[in-house]
Amino acid sequence: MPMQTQPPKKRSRLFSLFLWHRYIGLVAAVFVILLSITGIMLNHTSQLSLDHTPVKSAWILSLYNIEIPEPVSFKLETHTLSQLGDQLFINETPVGESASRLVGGIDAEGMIVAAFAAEVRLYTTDAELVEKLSLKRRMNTPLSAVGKNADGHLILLAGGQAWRTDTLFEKLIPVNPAAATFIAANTTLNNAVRKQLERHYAGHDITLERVTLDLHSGRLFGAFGVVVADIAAILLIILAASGVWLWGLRKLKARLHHRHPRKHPRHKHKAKYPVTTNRE
Amino acid sequence: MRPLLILLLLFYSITPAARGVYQTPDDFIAETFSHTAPDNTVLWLRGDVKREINKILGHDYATLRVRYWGNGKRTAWVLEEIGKEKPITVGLVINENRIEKIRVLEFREIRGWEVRHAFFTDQFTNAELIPGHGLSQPIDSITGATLSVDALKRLAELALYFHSLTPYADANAAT
Repeated sequence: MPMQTQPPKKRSRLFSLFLWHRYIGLVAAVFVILLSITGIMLNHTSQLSLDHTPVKSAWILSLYNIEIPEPVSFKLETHTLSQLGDQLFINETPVGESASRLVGGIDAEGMIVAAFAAEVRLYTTDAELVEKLSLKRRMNTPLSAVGKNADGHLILLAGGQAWRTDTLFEKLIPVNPAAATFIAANTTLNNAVRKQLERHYAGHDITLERVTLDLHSGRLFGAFGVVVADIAAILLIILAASGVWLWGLRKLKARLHHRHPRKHPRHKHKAKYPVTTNRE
Repeated sequence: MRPLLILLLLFYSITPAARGVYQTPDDFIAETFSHTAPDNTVLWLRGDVKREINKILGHDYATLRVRYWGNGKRTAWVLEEIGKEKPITVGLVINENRIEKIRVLEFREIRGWEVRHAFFTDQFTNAELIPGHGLSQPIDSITGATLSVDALKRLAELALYFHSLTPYADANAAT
């Protein structure tokens, strides 16, 4: 008599669900760890100073595609005054921001005078800010340059008119602009210095908090990262739902077995491999 | 539905105006001394002054000197202090060692802008400095604007202290 092979018994749905739950769990584990770590970091942003720590990694900054503007700089006697976008630098030291354009710089009375269209700023030679002063009302036209006359007095140029003053700016005395020397802007910076300024410029608005938020949401890797983060979220929901379902079924089975042990045995033994019988 | 639309419109019309420049420092000074041209000079923040500033603000002031305008027993100051993350520019007028006026000139943050309104700044009128560098009258806070409120309180104390260092301080002002 030919051998008869019993068809393999179908895997129970419960077991299939368990297998899915296990594999989804393995895949989701990576995301759970990442989300947990970034979530804890975001919960302690202030303590970790994430919002005040600029990013310096060129690789991370490159992900943000930050456009670096052309610098404007003025070569002073012992310092270089530069502006990159809205950020101001004395040599390579960032000394603040200004939405107004840098129009001139000069050494005067042991201080550095930075002239913008709408204001002047005084710094010590150690790059400490002495004062910010608006001259808009007193001059009526935007500043266009700052220089010195032959006596070393500070000269401000605005709308073709020049004024002599000092670093207290208490008085502005009209003078002939031809008698003053103004330093011209210089856009060619030493490469190493330029790289340093660009790195600071790019990292200025990108803090560790920003990067952590973008990593948490997946946005750090653009639209692809967002889709992956969404898929991870869906997997976690499926994981939670399947876990609760499995737990619930086990509870139900245990209760039924307790009430009717013969009708609902605790374990149904299923053949792992096809059962072959020889009948004669 | 219509009330909801009106509310939404109001919300979006109010919110963008919260952050901005309300008055320039030049206009504030011109308004303060509308009848008499003030003297304008600087106060250097060094040594003991720097230490006192640190006690009031909890940190150094942003600049090494501050400019002020004075006439008679009045001085006007334009000072800045950080609320949460960005500086708030405030104009203050001190008269006979008391606060005459406080005005928020520029507010740069998204939240806390309620401090610019008169219902809040009027609380500072006639406040003076008491030993230990507190204000002589309580200032009620605003829910959701605590940091901005604290910044203005610190600036009020600072302006009163700075005024006491100027020749315009009234040595005989009644307390």
